[in-house]
Amino acid sequence: MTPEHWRLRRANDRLIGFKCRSCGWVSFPERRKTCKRCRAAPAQFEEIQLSPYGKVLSYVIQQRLPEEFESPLAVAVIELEEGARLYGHLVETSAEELHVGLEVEADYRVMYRDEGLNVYSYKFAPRRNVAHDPAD
Amino acid sequence: MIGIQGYGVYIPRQRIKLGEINGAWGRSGGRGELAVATRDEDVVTLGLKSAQQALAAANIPADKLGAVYVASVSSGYMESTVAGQIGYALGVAGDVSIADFGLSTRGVTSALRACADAIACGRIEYGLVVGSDRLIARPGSTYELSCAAGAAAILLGRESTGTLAELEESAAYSGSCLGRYRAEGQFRGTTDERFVMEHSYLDQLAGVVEQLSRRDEQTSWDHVVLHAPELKWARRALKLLKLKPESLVSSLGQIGYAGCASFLIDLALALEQARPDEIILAISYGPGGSEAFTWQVKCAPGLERPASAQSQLEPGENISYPTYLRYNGLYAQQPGGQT
Ligand SMILES: [Zn+2]
Repeated sequence: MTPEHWRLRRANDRLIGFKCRSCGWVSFPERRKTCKRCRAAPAQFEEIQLSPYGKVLSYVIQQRLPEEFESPLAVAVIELEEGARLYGHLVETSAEELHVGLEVEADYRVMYRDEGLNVYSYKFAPRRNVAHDPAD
Repeated sequence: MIGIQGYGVYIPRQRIKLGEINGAWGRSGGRGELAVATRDEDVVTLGLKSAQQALAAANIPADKLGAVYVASVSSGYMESTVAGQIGYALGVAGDVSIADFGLSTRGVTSALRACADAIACGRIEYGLVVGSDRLIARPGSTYELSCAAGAAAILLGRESTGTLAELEESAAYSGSCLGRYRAEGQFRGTTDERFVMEHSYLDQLAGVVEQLSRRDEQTSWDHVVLHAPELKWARRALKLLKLKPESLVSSLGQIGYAGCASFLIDLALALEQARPDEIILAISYGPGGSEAFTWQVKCAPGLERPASAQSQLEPGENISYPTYLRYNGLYAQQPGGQT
């Protein structure tokens, strides 16, 4: 069976989102059949290059997780510069610095391991003015 | 002429102090610290970050790249491609040469040579050479006190106004195959490090400098980068080669040893420390041979740039020994299990 991460490879590696043609909602990294916001079905999505920069709109900190995850793990709704909103894991973010409005940047990481193969995508880290330009 | 058009360095922020490692094993003392990658980093993610910085610093888009060469001795794969993964994530397209160099830390200069040759013959305009390693030692071993993680990337291209340093001369020396080795799924094999240093390392470094002197009359260099898994190896080599101790540029004392990456991180540090017209000598080492390059500095990047190599050597977040083991996947899976 084809692993789903192969189909999502381009989106995951190059920070490409799928924007709903009727309402503008952006899905990342999944490519969906229906729009989560306007319920268009089947929705028409166009690919867009997402900005690596955004800010935290809300977050939760998960304290207890299975051992394959690092805990505590902060998961946030992040609004990217072009307005796309997505769920993202936060990395290298201390509890003290985490707040609504925190400026973050996309940070390429291992998401999980599938039969010994590392599968990558973007998580988010506090913006530290490091030169960064995915898929320029 | 071929020159360094840009570079990028990525050193993980987490550090473990040697005293913390020693303490865990009932030993005392130990100065210095090691850069440690987290659980969700590997040679691809480390290398990609250095590569993105190199392109951004040079303001060269990824679709201008004609080659992406990656050197690593710790990808962990017997079959896969780190260079392909990094190239794809960078956004390279079309007629691009992609290659992985590994198995010996000499690979990093094999990659540099291949890239420089491709530019010299006019086949490509720009090429990226990445060194990325995350070395993991057997807990409790002496290797554990030096193995670290990091990555650096060098963008090569034809000399232009923005060139940081121009490639002057290069030479190679094939030596013995003595040195570190590791079978699939193993930590390091048993190696008499002192024997390797005296009969392989010092022999090869002297040999390659001798080769270089046949092409280049230069006998003193302003900055010297020497591949060395430990500082004492570098000091022995400097003495043997009659080089000024203060000319050595090394990140070993601050972040530890990260294989192929260390060589390029130190080259980046040398660029940041250099002034125009100074000469940098950089010598690689690995089982099987050494290569030497001399670079003439054109316009030194200085320390002002964002994410400079120097700034990333600063102490980061200190982690405990249990966290270090968890990050490196080193907890035993069964009682008494060999990790
Ligand atoms: Zn919609």
